[in-house]
Amino acid sequence: MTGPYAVHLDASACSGCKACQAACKDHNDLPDGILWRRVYEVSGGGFRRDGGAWRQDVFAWNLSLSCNHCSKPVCAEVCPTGAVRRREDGVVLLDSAKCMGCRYCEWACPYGAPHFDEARGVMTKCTLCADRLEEGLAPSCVAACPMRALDFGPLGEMKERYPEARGFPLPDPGLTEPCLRMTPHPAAARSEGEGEIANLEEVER
Amino acid sequence: MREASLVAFTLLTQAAAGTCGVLLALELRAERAGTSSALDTVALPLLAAALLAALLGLGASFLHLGSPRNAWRALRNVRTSWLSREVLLASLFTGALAAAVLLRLREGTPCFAAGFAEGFAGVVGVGLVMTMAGAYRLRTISAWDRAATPLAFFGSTLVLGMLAVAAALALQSPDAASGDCASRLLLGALAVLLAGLGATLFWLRRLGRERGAARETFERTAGESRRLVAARIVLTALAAGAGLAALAGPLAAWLVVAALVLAAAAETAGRVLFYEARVRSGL
Repeated sequence: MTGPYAVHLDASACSGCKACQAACKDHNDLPDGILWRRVYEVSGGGFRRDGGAWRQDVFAWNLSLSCNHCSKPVCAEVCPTGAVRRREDGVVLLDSAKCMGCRYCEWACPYGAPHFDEARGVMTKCTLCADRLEEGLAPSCVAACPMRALDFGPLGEMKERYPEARGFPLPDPGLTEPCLRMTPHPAAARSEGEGEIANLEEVER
Repeated sequence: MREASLVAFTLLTQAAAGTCGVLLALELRAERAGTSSALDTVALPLLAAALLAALLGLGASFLHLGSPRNAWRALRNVRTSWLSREVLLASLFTGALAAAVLLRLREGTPCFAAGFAEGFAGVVGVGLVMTMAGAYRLRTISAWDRAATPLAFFGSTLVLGMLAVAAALALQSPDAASGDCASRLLLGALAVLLAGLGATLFWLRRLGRERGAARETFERTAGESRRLVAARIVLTALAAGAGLAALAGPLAAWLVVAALVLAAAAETAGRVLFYEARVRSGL
């Protein structure tokens, strides 16, 4: 399999178990407070009066996200030291040894993918498990998903099979052209972009 | 305040660029008019003060870095990164300013090389403010990605530059010509200061009418940061009051200095507010 690669998230199948998050942290030996893959809990709705009755339209669904190895990676564009680069196979890598820790990429990325490692004073980000790719294996998050909500493959093939990832709380894909495809949760279509991220404190540590 | 070092860096280097630019413009004007300029006596102290501000600003910028030992690599992506361009021009500006000061100190009187270094610093200073604005016009931060950012940066540059030169002229027991020049600079600075406040309030009003990250910025400003908005308004009014009082009678140096200090405080409140407005689109 050759790049560029894309990840597909089937939000209708994701149970929010966070096995992907844990597998990523384990495989990449990430320190406390750094999550390259994060599972956002999107929720909303409430009780609404319908004549003499009250009806509820409460919804909750999960969004598992990491770096989307964008076709137009804004992190690579803005990085003053050239520490971030997009490889020929589309994998966007950050060389921490070249990073000066200005956190400019963190400001620029609309997906919050680069994370600052306080202890080392440098940025870090998802590598799409480049070491596993070399062995012909899928990234650890994809391999760990018990619901098969995460899938991985060549970008062209994934584009044919799955729709573009858009809608709340995702940014406009035109900003960076992320290599992320998504099958939305039915509640996402019903809620018409309303809702909030319920676990911000957890994912933005 | 998480970005205190960046507030210091941007304001100090903009003050230095403004001082250098205003001084250069006045010197060129005096030369063209063929008049002996009162600026000759204040030029060296002003350039030295601008150099000190630029050095302090550059020093402050290092406090923001997680790995300052890699700071030398910041020039490696000039092709696409505005931040890289900003670092390049900040270094060139400080170097040119240092050369201008050293040459003036060595020669005693202005020479061609000192004039060239000063002119180069003035031009690079303008470029530096442009690259600063470019660095903050991130398309993922709605509140910054608009014309208000370069306007605010150039506004601060002009206000602080004009007031610094006016204060220096007022402090050197001015004759009628330099007093007149200081008065005009003071008046111009007050006009830009008030226009800057108006632009900030208009910017906030626009953010409040939009959706998403822009709206979130407005809510943050109206909530957590409302004291900063109030501080900016009060300090601007006080600076304008001091400036107008100075203009009302014979130019009192202490009132011009007070206007400079109050305007710098107002600009600091405005810059802190600018950083507080950093709400990213998306996640």
